[in-house]
Amino acid sequence: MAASIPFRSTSSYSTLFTRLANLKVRRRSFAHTSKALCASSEETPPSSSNSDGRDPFPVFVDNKVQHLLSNITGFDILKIAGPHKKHLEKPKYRLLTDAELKGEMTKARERLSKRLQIPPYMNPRKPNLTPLAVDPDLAQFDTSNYVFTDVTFGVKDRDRTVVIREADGTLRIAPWDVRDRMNQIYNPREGKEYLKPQMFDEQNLERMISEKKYVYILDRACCQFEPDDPDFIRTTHRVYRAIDSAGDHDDLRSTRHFGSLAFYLVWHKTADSLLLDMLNRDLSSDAADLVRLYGILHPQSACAGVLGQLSPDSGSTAVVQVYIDTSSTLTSELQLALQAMDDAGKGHRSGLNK
Amino acid sequence: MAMSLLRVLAQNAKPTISSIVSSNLQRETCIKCVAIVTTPISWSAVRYNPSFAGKVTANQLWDGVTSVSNAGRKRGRGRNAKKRIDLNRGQQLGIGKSGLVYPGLTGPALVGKKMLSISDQKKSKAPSEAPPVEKKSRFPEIPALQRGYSGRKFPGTSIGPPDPINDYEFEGFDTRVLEYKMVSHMTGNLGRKMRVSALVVTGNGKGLAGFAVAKAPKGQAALRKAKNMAAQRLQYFERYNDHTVFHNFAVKEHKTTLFVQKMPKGHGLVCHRVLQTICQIIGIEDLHVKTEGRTGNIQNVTKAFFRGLMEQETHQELADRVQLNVVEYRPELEWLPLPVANPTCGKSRDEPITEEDFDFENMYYQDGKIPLKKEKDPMYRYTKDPVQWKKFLQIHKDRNQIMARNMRIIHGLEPSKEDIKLRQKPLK
Repeated sequence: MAASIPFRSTSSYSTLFTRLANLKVRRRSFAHTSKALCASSEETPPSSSNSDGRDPFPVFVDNKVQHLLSNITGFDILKIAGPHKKHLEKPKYRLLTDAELKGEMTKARERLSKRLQIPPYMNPRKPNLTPLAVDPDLAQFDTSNYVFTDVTFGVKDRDRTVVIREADGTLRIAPWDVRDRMNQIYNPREGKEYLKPQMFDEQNLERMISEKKYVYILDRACCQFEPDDPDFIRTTHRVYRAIDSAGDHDDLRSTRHFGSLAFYLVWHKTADSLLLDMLNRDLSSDAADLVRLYGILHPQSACAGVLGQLSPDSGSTAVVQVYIDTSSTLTSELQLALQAMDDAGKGHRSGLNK
Repeated sequence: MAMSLLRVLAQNAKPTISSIVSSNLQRETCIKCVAIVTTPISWSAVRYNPSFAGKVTANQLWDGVTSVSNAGRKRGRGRNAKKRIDLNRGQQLGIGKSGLVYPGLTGPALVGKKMLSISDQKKSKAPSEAPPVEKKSRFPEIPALQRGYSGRKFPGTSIGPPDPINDYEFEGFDTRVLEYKMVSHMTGNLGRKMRVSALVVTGNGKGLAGFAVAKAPKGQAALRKAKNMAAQRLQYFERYNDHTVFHNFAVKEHKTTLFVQKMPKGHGLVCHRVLQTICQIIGIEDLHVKTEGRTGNIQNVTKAFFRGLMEQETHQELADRVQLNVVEYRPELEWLPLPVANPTCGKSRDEPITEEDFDFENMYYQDGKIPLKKEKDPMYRYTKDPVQWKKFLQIHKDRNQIMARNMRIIHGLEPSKEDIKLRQKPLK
């Protein structure tokens, strides 16, 4: 434990410190609270945006869902590697045999596939206001609050214990913004700023969206915020809605954000234009995966019922047809696109870079 | 004083100027008195007028400036003599810039019985036929981008595409002068005979280029001759991704040595000005060249560079020679292995090449000699000089302050000017 308080040369310093931080006595309660912090997203009531009031996080981390999401993301290795702004450096050259080249490519694919880890889809976190202890003897000890941060080596930011002794003698778990700031002070992360960048203010965000800098906004949001930060959720959802209305789904393909986008749209039952985009691009297996995802996320829907009766080896066209028949809002357009794809005889080709 | 003088004058029946001057009076007063007193005396002041104006005519004046004596002309004088200028060109007698009419002088004094006063003449009168003389600038200004390396000299300037041959027009070609100098040789009859020698390079910016040297008694003729000769000596150079060379190489022509280095896109041309011009003509955008030896010998520099480019080995040739895939790793693409050439036969040999055998950077230097690259101490400038070191420490102390202040301004945390002034006041 280290405390962010100035050094005092009093003999009773250690006693006072112990009392302020309340270490020995409350160790158990800390353990309890830190667990509570981790599990808070499961306990908190779901966001109001979803009508059936479920928590999306357990569904999101389900293996089946993750598999489907990573399938539809695509893997265009040049786009993932993407030209990044860097200092000028000379390229390196090697002479490789065919076997060596294959090995190098496999290694690079493995390395770059880590870039596609989908950021968790969570409900916004709730403040924990219950005091851990109230010590009236310490009231008016100082005019400022004292923040105590656990800086033990190896503690993860989400598990870190940060408590605050208020001026009236109450000891409570630090609010989220204080926790974030303490984490950034003691365990700074590259790309994250101590204060929230003004880019995420409503006005600036709209401007950047109109300039179609989707990937930049989403990347920066991932850097700056925790996935259950209300700011993260507000920002990302706004970008997803903008992409869906502008039809720019392809911008996010082969990035880590495509899975989140698809999950958001399917969770809110607004994935029709994404499905249309997939059909128009002849990504039939992606379209089928999206429909299967719909079945998993909404098990009570008519679509899920029909999908369950379908034989597992039925083609992607049949799967998409089920969705069009049962749950779609753009029925005629989807039907036309599906027919066009079938007619062109491209129905069997899967994703662009699979 | 004046009264006493009058008395003196009255006593003398015939006063003379000399007697007046001899009296010890102030000269000024004296002359005033003379004007008054000596009216009956016949005396006219003869004054020498030094001005030639009014004595000689304009023609005589012009002759003095422009003419050269016969003997002088034989010696070659008067070759650059001035020409006569009509100074009255564009002017009309009696009409000035202001256009005023003076009745009785430049116009009629009376209209009927009414006397006219000075008035403005309408400017709608027919404008003078010949415009006034404008002094021609001896050296008309050349736009900055059309100038050469230096001043008003030819080297570095563009002289347009080569002349068409039959029906073939050299579209997209440009020619630049690299060298333009006077050369001479001795003849029995004429002595030192001067000629102009011009070295030009022509090309289309897409890999096609040629150079030539030509001599002629006149400069323009030499340039034209060289340009058209260069157009008949075109060579095609393969470029890597249309922006640079395939590999580093060194090339030597007599005492001129060039160390050419391949550079990534966006680096630009860092080399001898002549090589920069040649690269622009060929279409090479990124290059670093270290020139050693006689770098002022433009013809050798040009020859060496053209030969070096011609002797390059493309990646495909390398792949075929060693029977291996040539793979490129670029930093901006996350060091992703990108094959740039595969062996033409379709598959590579089995045994891999060891790293010691293959060092792409230094592979093409001949005789195993590689250029010496000295490690540069980034602190060299500061550590050697105590004054610089002191300066460095000052800069080092504040090195993050500008950025920090910018961040404070962005987040609205920077105190206002009034606040800062308040803080700077001493505590009481």
